[in-house]
Amino acid sequence: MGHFLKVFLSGIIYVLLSPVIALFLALYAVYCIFVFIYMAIRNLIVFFSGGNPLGDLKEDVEAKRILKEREEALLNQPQPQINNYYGTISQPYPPYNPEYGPNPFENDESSKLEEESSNEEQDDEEVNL
Amino acid sequence: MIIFLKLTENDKRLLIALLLILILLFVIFGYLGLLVKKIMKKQGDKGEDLIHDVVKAGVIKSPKKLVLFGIRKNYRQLFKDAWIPFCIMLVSSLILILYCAFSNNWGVNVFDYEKYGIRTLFFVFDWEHAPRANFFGMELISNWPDVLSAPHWSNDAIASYFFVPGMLVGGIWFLVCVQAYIARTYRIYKKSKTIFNRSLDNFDASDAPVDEIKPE
Repeated sequence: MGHFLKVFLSGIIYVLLSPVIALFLALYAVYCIFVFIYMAIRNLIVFFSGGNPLGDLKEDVEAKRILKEREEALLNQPQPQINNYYGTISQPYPPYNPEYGPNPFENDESSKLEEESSNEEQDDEEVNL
Repeated sequence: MIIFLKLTENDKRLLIALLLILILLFVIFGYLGLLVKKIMKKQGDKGEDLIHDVVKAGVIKSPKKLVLFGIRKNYRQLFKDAWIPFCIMLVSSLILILYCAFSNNWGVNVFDYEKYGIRTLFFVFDWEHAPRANFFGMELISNWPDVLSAPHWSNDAIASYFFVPGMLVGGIWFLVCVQAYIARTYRIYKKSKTIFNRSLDNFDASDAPVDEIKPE
């Protein structure tokens, strides 16, 4: 109901303002006719002097050049190196950094077992080679 | 009040019907206005497209220069949009002028219904002498008027058959181009007022980096 009333009231306003709107449109239409004639004459002159009448303006050319340079700079940027060493089966986590203090896992049995299994894998690889 | 008491059932029904027609008319105009607004919003997007690159590249940095640049681009866009309807109107006018020159008849009425005009193809009614009746002190038409002319082909009206539809199609198409020009101009002007403003509306001071406390 609210939407209907809104449309109804705006319809009344448009009907009342329609002569003003028509006058505004008519004046703009006359202005656009003059603009069109001016552009037609200008384009003919540019065309017969060897130029491109509907080519880009110098600001457009400058803008395209800047945007192209930016794009090329982004493409030529050096890619950040991703260290894929960690996350493999033989190295599930990075080596312990002694700056943080004594290694809490130094005397851990599970870490010893992992070291032994990794040593066995290395021996197997050497045999296969 | 006495006037309403004297109304017959038929008069009341007629009044209600007229009121409904009036309401319907206003609602139609309301929806037409909404449609025009929606179309102009979409046409305004082209205006943004015209100035997008120069703003993004930072070639133009002031609102005044942007408006002037936008007007130049808009002139070119108007020419690109309007050259076809202009040509249609020009060709239609040329056909009429050539016909008048060859037939040596410069007083051709393009809306004539007997011999030379486009109305030879339509029914023409005698509205001036239509039967009328008195209704609330006003004389309103009460029945269909007589037919002055039935549709018929006329070779003498061939220029009007090209001129009137050509001018109609070209004229309406050109008006749509003018509407698009107005929409683009308004959008460029509106954007020039806002895109160069450095607003602090969404700034939150607590997100700003905290200065390091330097030892004394």
